[in-house]
Amino acid sequence: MIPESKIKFICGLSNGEDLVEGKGILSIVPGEDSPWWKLQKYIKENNLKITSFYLAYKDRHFVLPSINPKFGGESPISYNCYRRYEGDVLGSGDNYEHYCVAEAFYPTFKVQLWVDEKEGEKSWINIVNL
Amino acid sequence: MALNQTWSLQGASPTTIGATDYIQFSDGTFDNPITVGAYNGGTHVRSSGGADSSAANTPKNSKYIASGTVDIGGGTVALNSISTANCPIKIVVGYDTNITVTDVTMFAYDGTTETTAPTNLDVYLAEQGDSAWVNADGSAAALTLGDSTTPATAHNFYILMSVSPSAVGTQSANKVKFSFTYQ
Repeated sequence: MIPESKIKFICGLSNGEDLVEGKGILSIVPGEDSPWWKLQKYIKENNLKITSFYLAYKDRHFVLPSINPKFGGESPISYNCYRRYEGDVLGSGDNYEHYCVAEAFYPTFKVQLWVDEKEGEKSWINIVNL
Repeated sequence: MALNQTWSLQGASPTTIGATDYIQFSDGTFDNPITVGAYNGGTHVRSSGGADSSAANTPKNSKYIASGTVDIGGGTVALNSISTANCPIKIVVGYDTNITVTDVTMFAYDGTTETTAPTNLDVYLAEQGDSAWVNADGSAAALTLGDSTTPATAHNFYILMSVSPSAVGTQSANKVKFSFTYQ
């Protein structure tokens, strides 16, 4: 059993709504879609776009560039979010890594933001060519 | 809400592989060594106390023969002919909500450094339906499993695994790493 995720994603939508993973229409309900897939369905059904995206742990915010970047620069064309697990099959269960990853997509590359799910304190930025 | 994964050794009945258990590869009989250079004739679940936890479950085994062939007990057959039920290892990745599981990889290493091959052991892995084994020694040689892209609370993966020792002695320090993305 891997400990519960500490990191939550928070996104702003083109209709002005701010949605938080695990709350409201993105509630975590056993047997229903995960918050990410609920978000995808909601966006599609209401013809919306994600305009901002960040990961949060307690009072720490790990922010990706928004559609209107706070400090200028390029605007992402879309976002993605997932968790990555890597661990030994057997043993004490302590030897594993678990991350929450948010991605901002641009025409020819994507910016990845990795946040450690175990501690919630470390983050990494990665640029990946598409 | 938490992620969980369950590993079992399939057989007439499945044997759950607990966190403190070992997957034991033998010549066919529990605790009997494999001859150096040969491949496993038996797969078992060995408890931390040394008991054969799978003794009553007629566990499945997959023995590497060549790149595209395997022996699961009835002679050499094509690797891609093995059914899910005859794959020794079943992995279930589960979550309370419906998730997808993608970018799944698996490899063996020396238990210390992921890029280093297992010590005195050659490890072959295949997913059910694969036509060739992967010599998954070290992270650079990992087996890539198929994506499971329909959101669900449980995702099943069926694995064939075969090993060959290159030296005499118990090779229990080696480990297998399993990695995946979920959302």
